[in-house]
Amino acid sequence: MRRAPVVLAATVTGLVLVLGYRTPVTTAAVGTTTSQVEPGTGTTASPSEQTVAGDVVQTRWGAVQVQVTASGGTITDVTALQLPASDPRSQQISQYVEQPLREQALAAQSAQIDGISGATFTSVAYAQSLQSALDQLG
Amino acid sequence: MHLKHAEPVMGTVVSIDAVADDEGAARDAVAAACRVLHEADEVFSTFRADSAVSRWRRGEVRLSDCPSDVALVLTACDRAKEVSGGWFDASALPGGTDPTGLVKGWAASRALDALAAAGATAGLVNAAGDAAAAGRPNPERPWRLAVRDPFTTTGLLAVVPLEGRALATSGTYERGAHVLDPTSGAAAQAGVVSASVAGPDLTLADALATALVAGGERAVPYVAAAAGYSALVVLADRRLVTVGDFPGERWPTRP
Repeated sequence: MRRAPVVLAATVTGLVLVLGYRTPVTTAAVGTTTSQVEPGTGTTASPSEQTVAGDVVQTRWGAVQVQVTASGGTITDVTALQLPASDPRSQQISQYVEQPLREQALAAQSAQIDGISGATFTSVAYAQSLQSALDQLG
Repeated sequence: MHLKHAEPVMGTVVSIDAVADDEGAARDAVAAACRVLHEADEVFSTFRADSAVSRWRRGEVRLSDCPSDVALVLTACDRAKEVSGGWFDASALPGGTDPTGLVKGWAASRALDALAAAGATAGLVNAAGDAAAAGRPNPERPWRLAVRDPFTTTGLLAVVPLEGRALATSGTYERGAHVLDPTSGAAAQAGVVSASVAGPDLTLADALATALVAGGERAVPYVAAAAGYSALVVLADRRLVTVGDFPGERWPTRP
């Protein structure tokens, strides 16, 4: 359990990237409303569950596309449909990047941070594709 | 009204936040900022054979025939070379003078100016880690950026308020050694994984971050001597080095 605090930190951090990108217009209209559902409280069986694919975002290294499943205003799953894989280095980067980003998206509920310095091409594109999927969910 | 936007440009994605009186004004401001970014890409990209900078590098056009921004950016490169003690040197690269090392920061800074000129009351432009901000997202707090821990992908090293300062990060961690050592022309091997520089001007901050990756500890004294600038450097052995009074909260947990 030595790493537990780190995991917690990572989860809190995770709020950042995606939340920063979450539902721009709607969020602004809603103001400070937080419809928070604790992760792991078992809301995935909601009849309002929706799955949408985000835009394909091109980076210098290849395309990024994210699919989001949401239920009752909460992201319940995020899957990368495409990540750069045009060469072994890209594949390695994509593997390295995907799981943390997925965790970030799933953890995203509230943020006091507006972005990341040191974000990678891939992660920024991931966030953008995710945003477009969230826009579709409304 | 707070509008968020992500624009694919300059080989990456630039995120833009605009705060304005209404949605129309916010959208206009974002559009103005995006125009600036695309114009910068068209003029400066060394990945585009037809950009003004590419043509100038090949000797096809004179500097005086290029858009005036090219001379401005080259002047910024000269200043950065001087301030960094030569560890940022746009003229020492193979293939001739290449301002790419600070163009992203320069363009983000210009895009922020465009946001404000178009009516945004506050804004943030983050060009894949090179960020400049104006105003506040809301009255309660400043814009804040997290500096990512290059070793953990989700961990943070610090949370930096962007009030009166910009923040730039250069690193070798996603695409390997893309920063060259100006003394050898080869990939930098200074043992720096990432360098974040905070300071008043994003263009210089971007160049100093690049200088730290290129020169490592040898570049540190120059950054320390640059008034108003500070840095957080991550070394390959995972040590953190702080240069000057790097702002914000340190993230307490690291593996």
